[in-house]
Amino acid sequence: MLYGIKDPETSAEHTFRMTLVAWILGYLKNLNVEKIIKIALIHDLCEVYAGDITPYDGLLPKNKKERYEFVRKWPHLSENEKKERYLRKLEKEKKSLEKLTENLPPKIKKQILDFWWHDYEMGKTQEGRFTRQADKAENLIEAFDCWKRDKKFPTKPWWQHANEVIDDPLILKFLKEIEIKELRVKNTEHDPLMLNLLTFFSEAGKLKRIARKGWVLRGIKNPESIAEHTFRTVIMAWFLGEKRGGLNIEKLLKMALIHDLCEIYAGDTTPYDTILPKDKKKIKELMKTWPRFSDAEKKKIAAAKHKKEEAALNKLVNDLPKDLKQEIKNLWLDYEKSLTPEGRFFKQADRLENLLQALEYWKKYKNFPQKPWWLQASEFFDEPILLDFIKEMENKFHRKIKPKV
Amino acid sequence: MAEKIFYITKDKFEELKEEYKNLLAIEFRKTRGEMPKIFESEDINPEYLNFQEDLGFLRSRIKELENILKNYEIIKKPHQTKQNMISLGAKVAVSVEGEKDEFVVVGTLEANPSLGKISNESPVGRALMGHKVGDEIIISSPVKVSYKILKIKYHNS
Repeated sequence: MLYGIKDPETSAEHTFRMTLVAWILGYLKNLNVEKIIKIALIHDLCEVYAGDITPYDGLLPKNKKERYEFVRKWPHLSENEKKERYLRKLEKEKKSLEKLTENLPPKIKKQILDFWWHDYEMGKTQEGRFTRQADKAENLIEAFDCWKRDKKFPTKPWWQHANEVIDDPLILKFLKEIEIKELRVKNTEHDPLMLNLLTFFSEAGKLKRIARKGWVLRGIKNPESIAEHTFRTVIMAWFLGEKRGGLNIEKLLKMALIHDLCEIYAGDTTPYDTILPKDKKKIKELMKTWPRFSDAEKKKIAAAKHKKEEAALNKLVNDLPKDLKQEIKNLWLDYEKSLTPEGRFFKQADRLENLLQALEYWKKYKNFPQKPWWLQASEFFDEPILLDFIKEMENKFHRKIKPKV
Repeated sequence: MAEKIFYITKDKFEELKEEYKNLLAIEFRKTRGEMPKIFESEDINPEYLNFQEDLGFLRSRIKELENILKNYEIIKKPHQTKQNMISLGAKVAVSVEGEKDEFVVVGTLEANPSLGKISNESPVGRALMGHKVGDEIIISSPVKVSYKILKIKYHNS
């Protein structure tokens, strides 16, 4: 935001791609991937109440021109100033995280505060230190994405910071590839693996800028992106999956992270797509209903969607290392076809996030009917813990105000 | 804790049994470093190709199939005198607030509402059970929705 970028990424969008970067690079380094994914997922949760604290905070000149110049360099401070600012930031973020996790089950709360977040901030383990550096690598990819959209965007401060913070040989190798590719460094050979990974992460980042179609059709202002939806879906699947028990959490987290990657090329689909009128008023009317199809139509729509999405995913992962490519394809297939308990659970957890978002938009805008959502929910969910959660959502959102039909 | 019983149709049972047999063959050949024979067939299920590449995925699916095949119950067509009532396996035509739709009520394993298969453990599936043609059920989520039962049919398989 400080750079005046239009439609800057949100913390949720950053976390989505940063988790992918940390997972995949961490896998190549043979680290504990489940731990890395968890650390990555919660690393910015504290920003819910603490806000995004930048190194420029409290230092920005009032004069617009001076401020413009100031943010073009990474701020340099004395050791004492750095320490003081860091501790202040840490204190504020800890309080925020404590507030956010206050009512979570004790086990998850303890994990978040005492293990994952603490590890990320303090670098207690190799995974914590690695994830922190992967965060800087994602920032750098994003900085170049911004620069491609607006050539005035300064990438220099991000380079400066990355060069000061990153010491992991694998991430440094990855950084080198960013430099060669984005700055078109001559007479330097690409590292094929790093180049393919960079391309994959850059493509995955497109989900930060693709709005969820269902909200666009309903005329929601600034609707969530697919990356934002994915972020919260992973968190919900994780916490609810832990509570349910009997699931492989690492697999669940990975499945949630990749479940919508195919939409980079296949686009976001809604159940209304095959009957969507052109007229805006008619679309509004259609959104009041839940579309009903014959058996044959249902089969045809599902098969066409599967085919399109499978081709899109294959295109995206084609140049990844063979085992990673296969893992991502299999996780997606498991989710799509509900092949294992994780696949079946996640299919419903994904819709649960959608329902929660629908209720939040309804509370904010009160401009679209809730009926299709509740109708869908009562036909779709059968997982006991998710049905309990839906009951709680009902209490929270509809105890006082009954929804508009 | 008792294992969950998976209610499945006869067709699904046959499909899962066949899949289990084939996956075991793939695992056996793969661990011996040979090309599984079923890959020589031209009409091979493309999903098996994914299993071929990833032993971990293959084993997790085999484990899942073993669990299902140990804890299943085939959905049986009810006695003729009870076929006027909705139970597992019934194909039900309904009018949802005036709009027609069709569902087959299945166990959680086969549920896929996008394909018209709804779980007997979902609120709608649960509420439909035991009802007859002409009955109207009301689902009381924050928005009340009525389902009028128009037709109930059972297939032979």
